[in-house]
Amino acid sequence: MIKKPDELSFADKKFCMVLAGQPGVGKTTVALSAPNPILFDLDQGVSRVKAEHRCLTSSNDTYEGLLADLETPEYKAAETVILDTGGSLVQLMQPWAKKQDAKAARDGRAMFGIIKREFDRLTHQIRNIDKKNIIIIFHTTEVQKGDTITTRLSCEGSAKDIVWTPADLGCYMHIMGGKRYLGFTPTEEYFAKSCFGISGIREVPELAPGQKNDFLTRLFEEAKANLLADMQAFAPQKDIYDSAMTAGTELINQAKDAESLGVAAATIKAMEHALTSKAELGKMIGDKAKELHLIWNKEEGKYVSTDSQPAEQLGKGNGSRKSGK
Amino acid sequence: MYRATLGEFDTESKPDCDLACAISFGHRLKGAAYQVRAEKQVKLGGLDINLVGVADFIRAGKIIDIKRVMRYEYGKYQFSAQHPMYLELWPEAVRFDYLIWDGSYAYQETYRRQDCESIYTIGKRFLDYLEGADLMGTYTAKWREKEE
Repeated sequence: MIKKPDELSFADKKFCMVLAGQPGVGKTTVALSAPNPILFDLDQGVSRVKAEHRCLTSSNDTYEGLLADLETPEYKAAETVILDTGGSLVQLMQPWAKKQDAKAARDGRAMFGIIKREFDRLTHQIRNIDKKNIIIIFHTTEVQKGDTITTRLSCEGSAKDIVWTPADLGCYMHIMGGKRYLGFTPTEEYFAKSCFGISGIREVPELAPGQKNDFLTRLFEEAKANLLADMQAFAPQKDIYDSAMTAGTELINQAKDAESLGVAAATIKAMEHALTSKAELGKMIGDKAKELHLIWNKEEGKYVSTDSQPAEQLGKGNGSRKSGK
Repeated sequence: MYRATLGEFDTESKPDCDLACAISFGHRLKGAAYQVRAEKQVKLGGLDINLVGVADFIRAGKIIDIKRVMRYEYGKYQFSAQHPMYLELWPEAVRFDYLIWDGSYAYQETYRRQDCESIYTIGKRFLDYLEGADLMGTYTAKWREKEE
């Protein structure tokens, strides 16, 4: 189903988030502050979360057990799925992956290929089919890159590289001056992903006993509000863009010779433009000129046939490269 | 049958897999202007610099660049000068998407204007490096634009 921008609704928008950080920094507690969560405790770390902040928890020794939990009413009722951690999920998948393919049982690369596909499938199911927020927690590892030490997601195989593409948000949790922060803007030290106006560094509040753990619930609401505001601001620009592209494309398609292309170009230049309509239509005019064997003559201020242009002037117009390299 | 989205493709047959990716990217890029060129003259560190870029695709405020890589790790293009420069060349664009294909998976990295350093900052740092390494003479000699 194709919808116009003004027909899109993000009221039920679900978020996909990567939450990374060193062990013990408080990632699980932050993840549990998302709306109505279910925790897949894959690294047996829920015992380190304060009892009052714990929620429904799935604990399994096998990946088959985890898949079975996806069929339970508790899972179906949850709004947010927390995979804690992505690295532990990959480890849990290994015996399962070896059973899927004889080659995977003896070849590590084949096994990690299967895991990568299954990781992608599982997160796709949670996000797009079961329509839940998904938070994937990762420990981090430090990597020396030139003079800088950067942190990367700690996870065997290359499943860690596919989690960022569908993620709306990705953050690095760290402690500075005794306070905990989530960094959403990439830096030289860590990778992150900001979206919907959630960027920079956000301080994670210290939770007093009895205090509601709802930091990510409020963050998701803020992101939704930003998304709505952005949509409302973007809609008029998109309308202008669509009108310019429709009218401009028609004019260019109708151009049959130098004169009509010149008129089309002048009309398009005078149009109201938004976003990249001017650049896109400019390229279309250039392509049309090539198709009609025309070239823009600066001196005459009009399109002329390439046949009537001196050879040394050809190639000086659109697309010719001037730089020395 | 291939998914017309980012993600994994059937790797059983390499040529078909590349074709599947091309079809998938094609769906996403349908109607976009391709190989769009732009130039802009700027002053940087006392030099007249001509910024030149050819965008693979442009559509509705998005600049899209296709990358075919042997190996990919997320964040590969985080510090690339390409998206800051292209966002300067097309000031009406709101974002820059890298669509990346490593032979079996398709990935995307998106950068918005506020996510990256200005090309002026990057360019100034490069010129400072040239000064420090005593390479400015070589640079200005080898990269001077040909007079028309």
